[in-house]
Amino acid sequence: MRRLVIFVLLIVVISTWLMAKETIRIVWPGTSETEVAFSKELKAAIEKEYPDVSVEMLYIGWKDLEPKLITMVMAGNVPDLVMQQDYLTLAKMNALEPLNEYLKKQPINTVSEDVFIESLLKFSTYEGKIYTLPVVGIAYGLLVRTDLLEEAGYQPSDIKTWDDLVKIAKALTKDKDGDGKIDQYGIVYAAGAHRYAWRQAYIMGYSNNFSLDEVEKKQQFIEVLNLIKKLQPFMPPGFTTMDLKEAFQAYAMGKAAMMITGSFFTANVYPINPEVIVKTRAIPFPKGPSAKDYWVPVSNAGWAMFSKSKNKDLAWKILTFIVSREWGGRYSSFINIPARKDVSPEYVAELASAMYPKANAAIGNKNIISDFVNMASKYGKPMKIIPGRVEMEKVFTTYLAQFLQGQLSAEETYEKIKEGIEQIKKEF
Amino acid sequence: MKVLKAGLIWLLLIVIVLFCLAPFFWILSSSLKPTEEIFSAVPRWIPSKLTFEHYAWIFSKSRGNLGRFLLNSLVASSMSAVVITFVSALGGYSLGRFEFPGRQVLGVLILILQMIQGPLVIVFWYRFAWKLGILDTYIALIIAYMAINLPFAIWLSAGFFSQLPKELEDAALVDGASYWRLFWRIIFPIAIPGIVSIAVYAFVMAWNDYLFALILTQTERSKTIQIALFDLLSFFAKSNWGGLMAGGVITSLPPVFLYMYLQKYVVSGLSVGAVKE
Amino acid sequence: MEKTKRKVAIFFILPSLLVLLGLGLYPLLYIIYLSLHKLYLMAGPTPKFVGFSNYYKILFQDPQFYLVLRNTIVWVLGSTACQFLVAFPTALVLNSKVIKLKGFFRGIILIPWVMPIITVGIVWRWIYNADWGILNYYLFKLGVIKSYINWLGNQRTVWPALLIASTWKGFPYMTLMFLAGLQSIPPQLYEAAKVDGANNWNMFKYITLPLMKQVILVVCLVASIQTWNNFRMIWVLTQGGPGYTTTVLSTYIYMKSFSFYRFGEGATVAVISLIFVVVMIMTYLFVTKAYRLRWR
Repeated sequence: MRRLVIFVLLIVVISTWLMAKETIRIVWPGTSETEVAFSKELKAAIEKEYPDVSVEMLYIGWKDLEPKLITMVMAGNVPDLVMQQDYLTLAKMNALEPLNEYLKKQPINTVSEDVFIESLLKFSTYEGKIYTLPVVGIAYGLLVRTDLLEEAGYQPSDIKTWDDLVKIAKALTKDKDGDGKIDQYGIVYAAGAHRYAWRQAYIMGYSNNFSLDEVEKKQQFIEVLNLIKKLQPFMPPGFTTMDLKEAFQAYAMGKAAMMITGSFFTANVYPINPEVIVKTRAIPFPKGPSAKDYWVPVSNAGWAMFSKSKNKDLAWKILTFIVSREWGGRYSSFINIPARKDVSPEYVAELASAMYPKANAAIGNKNIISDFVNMASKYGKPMKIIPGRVEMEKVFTTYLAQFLQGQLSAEETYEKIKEGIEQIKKEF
Repeated sequence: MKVLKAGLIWLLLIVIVLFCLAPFFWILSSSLKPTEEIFSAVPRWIPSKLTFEHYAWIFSKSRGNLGRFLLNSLVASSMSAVVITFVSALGGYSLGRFEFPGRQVLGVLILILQMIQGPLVIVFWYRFAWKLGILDTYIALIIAYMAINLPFAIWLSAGFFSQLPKELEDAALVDGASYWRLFWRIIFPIAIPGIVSIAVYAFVMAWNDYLFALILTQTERSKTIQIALFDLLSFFAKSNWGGLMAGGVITSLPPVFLYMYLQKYVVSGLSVGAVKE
Repeated sequence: MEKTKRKVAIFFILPSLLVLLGLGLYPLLYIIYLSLHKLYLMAGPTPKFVGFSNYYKILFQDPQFYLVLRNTIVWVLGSTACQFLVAFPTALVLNSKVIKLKGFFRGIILIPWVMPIITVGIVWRWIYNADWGILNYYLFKLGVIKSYINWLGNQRTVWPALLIASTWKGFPYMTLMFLAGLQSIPPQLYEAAKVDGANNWNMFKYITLPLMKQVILVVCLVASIQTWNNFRMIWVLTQGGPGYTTTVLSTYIYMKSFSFYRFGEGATVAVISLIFVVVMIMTYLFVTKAYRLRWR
């Protein structure tokens, strides 16, 4: 009798253990309604495809992602997968698993090295190691109000060089209602928050064919500073304190006719004023005086695996599922541009149209996305992964603020920024 | 003359209330506007058409789910307030009415222990909660709120207790009562205004906390409204500005109602003539 | 008798002490430990012992440190003073017999304090916006200013702007405490004084103020320390900018640790900040004699 009981218990225990599902913990940084809804669909799909797997989604907002992730890693509680844009911090902490070998030996779920757009995969690579698989690409350029340009007698294609830009920004800066105050400015550059101030200057740097951290390129750097100074009178005066959200507000409210930003434009502007979307097109940032070619900066958001994940093979399978043609493609309809060659921008724009029902914004979004996709495929060049970038951002904005207030000359500003950035580079 | 004085006092009150409420009124009005109207170049205080969709969205269980987060915040804040009130009452009584050696040093030490509980120690707290298995629970939050709010609560409590007349203890001691009974029967009731304020203080500090809620909570099991609101801002999808505004309005209200409700308990024991002069 | 009193005192404060030491001692030691190490996440996840070189770096080689320190002192003193100037009259008004619906108004006053910080950031940035902000809009319309002011971008206006926002957010806490203090004053004292013919001003000067002294001192001390440590208020409004103009020690620590990933240096600044506060507290207590019990 006793032996029977033990036997039955053993069967129960073993079968429970066998039936026990493996848990995969995924950090999902999108906390908005659409992103959460999508993540739930994705979870259901994963669990259907892999019935032995139970997916645990950890929702952390994008803004808090880094502090919380760093805390978790430092404390030792490591999840399996995470979506990242700035993956360098975790990579430097040896927290991410390089994916090169996995890509070579286990291409599954329509994922292999050659399926991603090269420039985007390059962004995910640092010192030869591929740390993330791109799920969306981000391209950066100049967004312009075609209707306001037309009013002044211009087309977006007229903006080919920096001189064109300054000329047209001037033409678009006007006092529309005759009350003595300018209510429309040519362009807006969010110089307040250091992350975006740096990034927009970085875009200018690329358009002048150099990376902003290459401070030894004195002439090109000073040209960028001078461009900002030249554009200053044609920007809303508050631009020195604006962060990116406020720059979007300025553009959406018609206070600025152009802005320097990326393919995440529509999702950010639509809630503020949907009517602007269909009147907007994207073009590569015009060429600077020292530039030979157009360089369109691209980056990505991609999925990474933690090096201390408990079940890496399983994590790899799930990772590929997430960036597969079907699911990666669908995700890229929320924002930005597809990261895979086999996902067409038309498909993505079609999916996105349900999110932008008002004021023909769906059509506008389609145009903007195809503009960005074209730019990225013709001229796309990955943004450089720069260790210590955040400190450089702070150095840059500190002296830029003084420069814009007229306390320093362009040359002096350059010297100070150079000193600061070289100091940071010494560590590496 | 008296009317003039009363009028001035009322005027001052109105000015202060306007100062307090103007930003709140802005959020309230924004929360009732259709989304595209929230940001407009010309400030508009009255919505062109009253829209309740943001409130509907935020309370719906499948969308904003604010009800759950409100509950979490309420539980964490009120439980920690209760614990802090009692512990700090005892500690403040000691610190505020007894001259014992090392009193000042102890007071400063208490403050120091509070001061280090900032962003730098979140790894410690996360690990602590994780290893104890209390991540994403109310308990973790309550313990954390004790650590960060108790020190100030003790000091404030000490301030209130030291204000009370010295004779309070003498009367009871003559009768041979122990300090413990003396405290709960006589001192505590007389100090009610101060104690209620400290309860509200502890509640609000917990209610407002962002850092520890971020680190110690993960899912709707214990996530507080501060985090939930922040989550509405997105960079990779449409931010829900209307929801943020509505959420901001709702979040401000519970502590206000709590304080209004507790007012009726705030009648000084001293004013009832508990101690004969 | 004295010995009993001492035992009682310790007994009453023991629970608090145990909790605080248990939860606070280890983090304190950890921060001191970190300050003696280099932990730069960009260079790897393990701390490296460097002795006091972080301290040397911060105190003698950091061009921003003394600016940040000065900012912090100005910010804390200014904030506390402004909050006091608004809170004390408010408490008096809310305690006045003239006001009806006291409970309602007292509750309303709390609203700035309890508004979620993210909404506070959005609203005040909207108020101070240099291009379409509410403040600029009305001041311009009323003819007070000729052109819009960049409140948060101009070095001369950014601190006053921050102080106003901080006063708005922080004064309810003080009001709450002062109100409780006022309510603890036995009304018999006022009645007796009135019988003796005292006028309102004398009653205020000789009854209210002395009895409120302890509460005022402690409330201001707590407010100062909270302001000293509070980084989120400034962070949501200016992130310490433009440049380092509005950076205070708390934002500096956060930036060094979570933006620049230099945890060792962040810890060093935290320790220095702590030492400063301790010195300030002791000076404050000594000067105001707040440590003395009222009836001595």
